[in-house]
Amino acid sequence: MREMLSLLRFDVRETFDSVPWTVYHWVFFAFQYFVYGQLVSRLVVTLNNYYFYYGTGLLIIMTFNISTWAGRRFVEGAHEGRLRYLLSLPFTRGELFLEQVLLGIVVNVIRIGPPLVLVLLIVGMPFTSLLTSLLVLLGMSVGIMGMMISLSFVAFKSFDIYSAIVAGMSAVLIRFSTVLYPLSSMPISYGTVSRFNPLTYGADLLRNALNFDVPSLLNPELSVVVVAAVGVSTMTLGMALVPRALEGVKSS
Amino acid sequence: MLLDIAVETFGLTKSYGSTNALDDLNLKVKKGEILVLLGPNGSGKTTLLHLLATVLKPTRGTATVMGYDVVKQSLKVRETVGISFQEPRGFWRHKPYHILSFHAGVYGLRGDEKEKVVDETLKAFDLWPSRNKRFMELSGGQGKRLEVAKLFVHRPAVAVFDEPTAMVDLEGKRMIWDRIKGLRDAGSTIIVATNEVREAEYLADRISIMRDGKEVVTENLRTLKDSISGGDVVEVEFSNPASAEVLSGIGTVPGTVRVVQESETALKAFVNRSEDWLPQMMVLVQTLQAKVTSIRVSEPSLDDVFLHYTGDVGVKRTDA
Amino acid sequence: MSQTDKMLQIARVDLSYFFRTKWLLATLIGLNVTDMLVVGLVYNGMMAFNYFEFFAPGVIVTGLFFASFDVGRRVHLGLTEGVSQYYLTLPVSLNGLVLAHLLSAGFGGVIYAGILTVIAAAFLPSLVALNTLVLIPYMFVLSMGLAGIAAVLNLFSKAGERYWVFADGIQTALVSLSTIAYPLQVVSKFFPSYLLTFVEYNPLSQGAEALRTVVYGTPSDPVFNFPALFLTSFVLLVVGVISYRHVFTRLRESGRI
Repeated sequence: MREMLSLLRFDVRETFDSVPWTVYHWVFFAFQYFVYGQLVSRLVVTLNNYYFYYGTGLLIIMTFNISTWAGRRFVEGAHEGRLRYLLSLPFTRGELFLEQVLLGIVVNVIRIGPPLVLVLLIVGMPFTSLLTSLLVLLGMSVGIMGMMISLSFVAFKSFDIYSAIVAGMSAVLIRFSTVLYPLSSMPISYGTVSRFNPLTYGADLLRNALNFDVPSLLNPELSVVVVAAVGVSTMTLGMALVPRALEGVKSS
Repeated sequence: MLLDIAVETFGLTKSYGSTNALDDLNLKVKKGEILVLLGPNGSGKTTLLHLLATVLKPTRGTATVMGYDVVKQSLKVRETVGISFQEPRGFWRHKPYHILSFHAGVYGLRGDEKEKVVDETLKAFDLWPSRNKRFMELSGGQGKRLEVAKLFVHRPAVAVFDEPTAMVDLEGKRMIWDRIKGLRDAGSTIIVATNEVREAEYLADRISIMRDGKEVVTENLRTLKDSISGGDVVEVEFSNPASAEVLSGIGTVPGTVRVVQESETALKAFVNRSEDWLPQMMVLVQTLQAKVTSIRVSEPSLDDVFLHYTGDVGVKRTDA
Repeated sequence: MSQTDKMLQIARVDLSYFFRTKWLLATLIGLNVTDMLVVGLVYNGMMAFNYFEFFAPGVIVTGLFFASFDVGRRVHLGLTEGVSQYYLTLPVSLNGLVLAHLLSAGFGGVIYAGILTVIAAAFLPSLVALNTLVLIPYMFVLSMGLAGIAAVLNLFSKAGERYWVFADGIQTALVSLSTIAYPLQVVSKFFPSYLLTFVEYNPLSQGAEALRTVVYGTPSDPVFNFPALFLTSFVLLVVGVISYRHVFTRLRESGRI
């Protein structure tokens, strides 16, 4: 376990060194929240305080992007030869898996923390909301990372196909969900699809946690169950699939 | 410029900050020869090849390729010279066929002719089975063979190869060397940069040893070997124990550098040009009535020559 | 064989690299199509005007921008992986090599935007498809101009990671500060005047307004005019030529990117 923690320390330090990317995430947030969000919210007429709705959605998008990156990083490591080296180090496959997840969580906190604080300050939410919302975002993050890592068996066959699937899935998952608009505003068909999307439950849970008043928000208890179930199931799946795939990983 | 010179450099210098990767180089490559540049890492071989291929621009001095100046007539030079890089340079998502086809197209091949040349080259370099793999999926050896194969598509007047067989297996190395020789036989002038002595030995008409961005010596292999003082080793065995007279007599034969007694009946002599030394030694031995039972001659390897010119070794170069 | 032939061959192989990058195409198509057909349609129901009709041309121009901007990624990879050095050994002039990259960006943008236009046409009864043909030369010039921005980025971001960060940052900034997703009237109430001028003359705004005007056959906004679009693109194109000339000359002279 101590060896795994030293790897985690190394990876976290590497992330800290990657200042440009961290700054980029904040710049992305600033443009999307203070420019795009402001202007689009002036056009929306069917929802009160769309600006706040959009802000929380943006946090979900950022969590999704960062967690996807964390999952991809693991898979990329296999193709760049880094993973082969890690496999030779004295810790179990499970510990290696856990280290990647912990790294994803740390990176999420670093990159999403400041924007989250800013959104809460702007909407005047109490400090306790910070912890609740961070918990929701991290819960989602675990599910997304698990999903990306579980998909790695595709990557071991073709990294290009893996990247294409992840890219296509990212676009579809965010847009067919309540991340950017509530279920009540969607055409029926889109709404039906969105109800099967875990991001919908995560986004609505975050808004519930922040006491955002939207009648069509999904039941918070159900959302907790879905977010937790997705996290646990994708992680379990990942832990079952990846060690098997790892030892047969092909380089290209 | 002499008519039989394909490439000539004039005080060619390439500096990176205060470091001279190539330092006032004056080198001539004859038309139709294979000149091998041999030198340790960082000796300036790759820089020289890049300057000749106009990938880099000299800091000072210049060079001509088939009479064209690499600075003033770079486009003409590029029409004349082809380079095979040390690291394969391919479009990652293209297949070997497309990469060679593009290369052939840029050099003016069209239609059926292009297709024929590309197919033949793929087969010649054992890339036919992997023609449908993307460049990024090729093994190191396959990528290297593809890099070398590019020059066989348009067969430039001057072909430069930077470590053409690095990462290639033994069978592949021999195949590439034979193809390069074939290219020379068809009329191209070849420059090969390598730090693999065996490659130099197999390919070179002349070898240019480089160190610290400078040319140390350029000669054919025979002359290089002969230039090492005491490089030839002659082992002589006698039927009876060699007398002190025999030992001291051998030490006086012209060309002897050192004599070491290996056993009572055997000695080892380090000599210059064993072919001149041996007859004189035999006359002496007969005069002293000693009976020789065996003689074994070994000349210096190119390794010895290379180390002699690039490292600090105990043998000295003969000035003669 | 003429220099033009060689230049076109390099442009073609560079362009084919774009279409062979499956993950990139999946990303672009995934983003653009879902933006148009999901975000555009849902927002349409949340706003007081026909947002889908307004937004679809914006998405097409965004697609054109991303596709033409991809030349920066290709050149960056070429520089770091050594393909640019290979290009420098080919019997083509420096100008030919520079124009080949910018041409491939131009073609890439127009072809990709064309695909998006066809998709949009299936959902926009008011779209006058034939009108868009008139726009092709302008879109081509715009696309080459936008590649000029990528060239500037190649010039200034030498280290590996910085390029990707700046590229994403520029794309985010240019799309946000344009009339791709919101009309100029809304922007004018929110932005200070200097920023408003930037939004007006942002080539993405110019492109989106051009499409809106030509595609629907009605002028959408007073700021748009063809000479301005042409001039902005041309200036950017010249900047692109100078930047790429500098990038490749630097590679030849210093051996570094």
